[in-house]
Amino acid sequence: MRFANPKNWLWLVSFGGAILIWQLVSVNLNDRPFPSASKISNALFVMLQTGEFWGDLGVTFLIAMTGLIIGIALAVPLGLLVGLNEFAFRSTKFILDFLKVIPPIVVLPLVLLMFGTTVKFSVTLVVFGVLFSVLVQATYGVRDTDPVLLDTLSAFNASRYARLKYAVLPSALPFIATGTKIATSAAVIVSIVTGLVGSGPGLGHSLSVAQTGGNFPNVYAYVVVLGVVGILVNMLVSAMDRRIIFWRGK
Amino acid sequence: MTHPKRTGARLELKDVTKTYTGHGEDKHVLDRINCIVEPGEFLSIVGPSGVGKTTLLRLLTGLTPVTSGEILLDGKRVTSPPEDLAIVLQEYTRSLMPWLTVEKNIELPLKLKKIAKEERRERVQSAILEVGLEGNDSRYPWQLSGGMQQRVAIARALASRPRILVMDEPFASVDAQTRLDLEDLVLKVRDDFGITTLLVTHDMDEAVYLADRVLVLTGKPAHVAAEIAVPLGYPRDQVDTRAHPDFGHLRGEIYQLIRGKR
Repeated sequence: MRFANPKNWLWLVSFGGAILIWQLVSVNLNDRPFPSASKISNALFVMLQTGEFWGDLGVTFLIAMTGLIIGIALAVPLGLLVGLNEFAFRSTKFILDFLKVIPPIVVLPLVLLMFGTTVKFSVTLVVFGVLFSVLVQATYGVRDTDPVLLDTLSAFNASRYARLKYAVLPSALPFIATGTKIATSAAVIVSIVTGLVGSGPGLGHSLSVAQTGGNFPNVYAYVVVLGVVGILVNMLVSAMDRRIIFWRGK
Repeated sequence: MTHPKRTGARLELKDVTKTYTGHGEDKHVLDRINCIVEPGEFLSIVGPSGVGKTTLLRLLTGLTPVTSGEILLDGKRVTSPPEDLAIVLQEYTRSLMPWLTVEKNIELPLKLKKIAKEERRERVQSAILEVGLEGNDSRYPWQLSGGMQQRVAIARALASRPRILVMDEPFASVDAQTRLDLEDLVLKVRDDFGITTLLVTHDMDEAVYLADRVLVLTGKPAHVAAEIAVPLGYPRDQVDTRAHPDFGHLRGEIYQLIRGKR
């Protein structure tokens, strides 16, 4: 019995409790920036029936995914190359560590000037947010390849390509997956921030419009949507990770 | 068993010397090692830890080049990993690919040798039978015990049908009972195939129990302190052979060689 174990439904109790507390507090505050939980759910319900909302959601999703895919497609081969070459690794380590910690929002104005408030602008920024974490992880993954494994393959007369295929790539895969996990959250966040701060298309922009218009129930409704999107994306990525890297920690 | 009997390779070490250069000072590890291993012979190489046993093994497998002297396998100079040689390392957990099943792990070297699929399957199956791993084909290494993992490594070595099998402390990290089982497995493998077998170990009992001859390395740099023939006869038996007076005598002789030179 799944429901016999409190572990399985405790989250629902605390979630319901939190909403209840919000409702009670907000009703008593009776202030515009704190709409009640019921008002927010009404706004959300209305919003879900508009084509505009689904269009925004689609655009945001498209931006995040396109940026993520381009970022990974660039980062993995680059990371493998850098990881395989001692000279490249030593010479780029500092630059990469440096670039990795720069939040995409810092370069936002620059990219905005280049592309304006277009999808291209948002995607570019997502790529920036994704690229370095995956690249650095891929590099470390390559360098983490067990020398015993490489020796074993060498003793079988494996070519350089075979060692790459049968030892280096699978060894780097868990690291790349971790990088991708981090990058996926980053991609979703950046795709929203580009709209919120840079007026790029998508949910972020609609949230910002609702905020300037003083439509607070809608602001919170968007926040709820973003939370749900975040949880779903995380669940998806974790499930993929468990399926692909089934030997992790063994 | 339907295995064809194969003949082992002949290995010859001529003044094999190894000096690691760089990293500050030169490190002279092996000094003029000479030895001949006849086809089908079982040779144990013993010595105190850190003497350079593993270095010697890396030279034999062509993974590291010799500084001077030469290693000949059937008269051919070893410069890269020879086709006819297979290796089993101590670290079975690290030498098997965790992302491949038992079957795929054993198959990998055959794939690298571009052997046809049908024959690969046949060889993998007979190697699995030989080491007693039936029914574990599609399990992953991490689902097996240490002893079973080492069996996979041995099966992988056998699948490539080597004429010389080289093992580096293969039983050092399994429990005592498993160790005895694996020792007997190695003897059976040598019997079934007639392959030349080299075992590097720091365990004197194991060295004597398995070998036709024991090569004792001592000193810094390491040199051959003695080559001791083991006239114990076959088949060997974990109880009787070890209880034989000659066994204790040989063991004592090797012990004194290793002790005395330190």
